[in-house]
Amino acid sequence: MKLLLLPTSGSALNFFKFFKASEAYSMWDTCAVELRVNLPRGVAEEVQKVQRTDPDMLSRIVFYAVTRRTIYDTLANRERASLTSQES
Amino acid sequence: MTVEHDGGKSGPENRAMAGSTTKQKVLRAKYLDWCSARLADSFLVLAPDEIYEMAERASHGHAVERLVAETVAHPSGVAADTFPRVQNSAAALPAADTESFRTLVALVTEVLAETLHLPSFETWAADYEKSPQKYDDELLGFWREAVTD
Repeated sequence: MKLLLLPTSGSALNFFKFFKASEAYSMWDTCAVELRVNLPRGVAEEVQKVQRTDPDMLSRIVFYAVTRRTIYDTLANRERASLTSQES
Repeated sequence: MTVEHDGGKSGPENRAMAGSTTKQKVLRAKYLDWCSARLADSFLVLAPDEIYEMAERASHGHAVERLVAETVAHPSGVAADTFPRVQNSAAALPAADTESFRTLVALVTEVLAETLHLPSFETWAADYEKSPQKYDDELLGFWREAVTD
């Protein structure tokens, strides 16, 4: 089963690029947030393990995915607005 | 009843047209999903100064110091609220307090989309038809919402 939040093979390179740019990530003003997500059991155990050993990694994954989602929303809204103005 | 919506076309023709429209809708959503990867790559490696410049450019000269200060820590590591602020700048950008990250991303995306020279939808779609797997591997699945809408 493919997990939506995690990168597929082709976008793994994007992640590595982003993870390498650690100074870029650290410039963001951060605060703690509690999340509750449902995952396949095996993945859930793995996530808990990563949370103990490398919590920063999970923060980066969520940050990347949410940023991409916000960019997607921006593009989709812009397209909808453009179509609406063409129709009127 | 169908005639009201399909201009008198027969059932199969109407279904074919609906199928084609859905395919086009999915393709456009996949294009935006793919563009979001390209834009996120560029956005996430920007330095605070670059984010500031781009956000200001996109806001057409409106002050954005407060918006950036709320979202991005100062490069030297000092608290964000020591960032220089402009008096009364809250009115310059909509909902800066509650949606500063979303607003900042929207502003910077606007500039990046113009400067990155991403392929047009037509060019991208033509290449996608040739090798969809190459592109599908980079999608995070946001496009699926366009199908369920």
